[in-house]
Amino acid sequence: MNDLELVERFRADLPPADPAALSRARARMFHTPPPRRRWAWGLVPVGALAAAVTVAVVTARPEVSAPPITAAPTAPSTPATATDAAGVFRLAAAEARSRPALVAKPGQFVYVESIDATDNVENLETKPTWVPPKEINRKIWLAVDGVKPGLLRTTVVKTGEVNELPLDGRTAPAYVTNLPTDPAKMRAWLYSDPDTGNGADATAWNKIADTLREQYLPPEAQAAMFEAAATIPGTTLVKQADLAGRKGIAVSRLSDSKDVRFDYIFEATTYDFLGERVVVVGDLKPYPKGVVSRWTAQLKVAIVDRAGQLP
Amino acid sequence: MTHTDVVADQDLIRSSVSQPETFGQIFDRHAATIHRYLARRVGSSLADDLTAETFLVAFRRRDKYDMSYPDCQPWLYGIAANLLRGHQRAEIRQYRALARTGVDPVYATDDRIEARVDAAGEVRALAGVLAKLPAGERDVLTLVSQAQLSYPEVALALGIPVGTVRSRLHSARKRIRTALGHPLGHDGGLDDE
Repeated sequence: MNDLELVERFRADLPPADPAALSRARARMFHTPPPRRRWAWGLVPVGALAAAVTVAVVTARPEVSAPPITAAPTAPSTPATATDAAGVFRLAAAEARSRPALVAKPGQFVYVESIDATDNVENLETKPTWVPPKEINRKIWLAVDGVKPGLLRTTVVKTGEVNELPLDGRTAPAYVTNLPTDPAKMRAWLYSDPDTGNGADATAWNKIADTLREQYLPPEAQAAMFEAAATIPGTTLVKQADLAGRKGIAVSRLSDSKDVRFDYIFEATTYDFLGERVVVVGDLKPYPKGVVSRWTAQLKVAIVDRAGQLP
Repeated sequence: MTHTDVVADQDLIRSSVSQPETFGQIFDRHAATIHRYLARRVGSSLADDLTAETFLVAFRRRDKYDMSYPDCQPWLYGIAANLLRGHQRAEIRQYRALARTGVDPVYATDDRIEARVDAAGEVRALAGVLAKLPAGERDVLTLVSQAQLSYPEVALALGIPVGTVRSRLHSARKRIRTALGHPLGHDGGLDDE
């Protein structure tokens, strides 16, 4: 036997992979929220989101059940403090409900400005290296009624490089009027999609983000959304969660693999919705443990007459 | 490395950019093969994790795949080899244990099979060499002889020139031959460090 044959036979009789282990690996591939490129949906109109590639799928089993808070928040002007995840959602609902609805007519545009920061992994084939999130300012115009074509203008924060991308018309209205305003009905709506394989709670949890991103929900629907979110099990509270220079408090859920945490962030005192982020909490090479893989901060939502017009 | 599937990997990957579930077929085609390679280097249980990681990385990078290559196996092996770099100490520890004791921990810790207690002298000598090989040579040696990749495929997998594949393989083989000539001798690699 020559040297190469010896290597060839070395451990050659190991039994094949356990099918159950492979099937878990297959599921993990689809169901770990991608730390990068999750925002590729930005290249398609929001209306096509349901079919988009990159919808974040965060799975989690209920680990810490959030006990219902007994005292309902009163007025948002009253400084209230939430001590658990459900409490934050309830205060956020009260905050949302206190705001006047934006007025819009058919033909107008929903304008949303946000900072979106996504990390990257470079040199994958040679020496995978994690590159921290790169901030991009996104201004998007989407037709209130979904009819006219929209526009996306991105600006790389560091370099000032600007890109404009026309977006298809004939999509879903960006001013969303067909959602329930009753928390129980909203909860049913959040849970109405087929389970993506991650469990019903995770599917509902993700639907919140997909619904809040780059479109406008009237206050009653937003409030119902947060109240319904308060009833999703498996959430925890993260008190220090600053976003784009604003002090935040986060409601979080872990992915099924426990590698990644998905946060919804609210302003720490007013409970205004600030945005979302993905934090690597497990051992997920080449990501350094504890880094924020991606975040997005919602800066402004307004109604304007034309695509490209600033409020 | 070639397979007779009607649809080439590159087409599946291309289509998976807009239809992610298509990538499941890439997994179904290659996962067992990649797992086998990983298991032979670090044992089944770590291979389970690394297989998952390999395909997770591949899935996320699918839009970066060079569509001029119909077979994606070298690409997958390259990702797997990279991930193994993070587990070199575990890999080497097991080779050393085998060289020293004749018991291969990779079998001993797999509860589906009987432990091997009497590895042949030449297997122990080989394990001693594997423990000492530079990581780049170990990658080339195992990709050629265990994964049965061609030199150009190894070059593609590791992102190195074909000439480097040849020289690394040559060097690794020389070390093995030397050790086999003196199975328990001065270059047998049976010392602890």
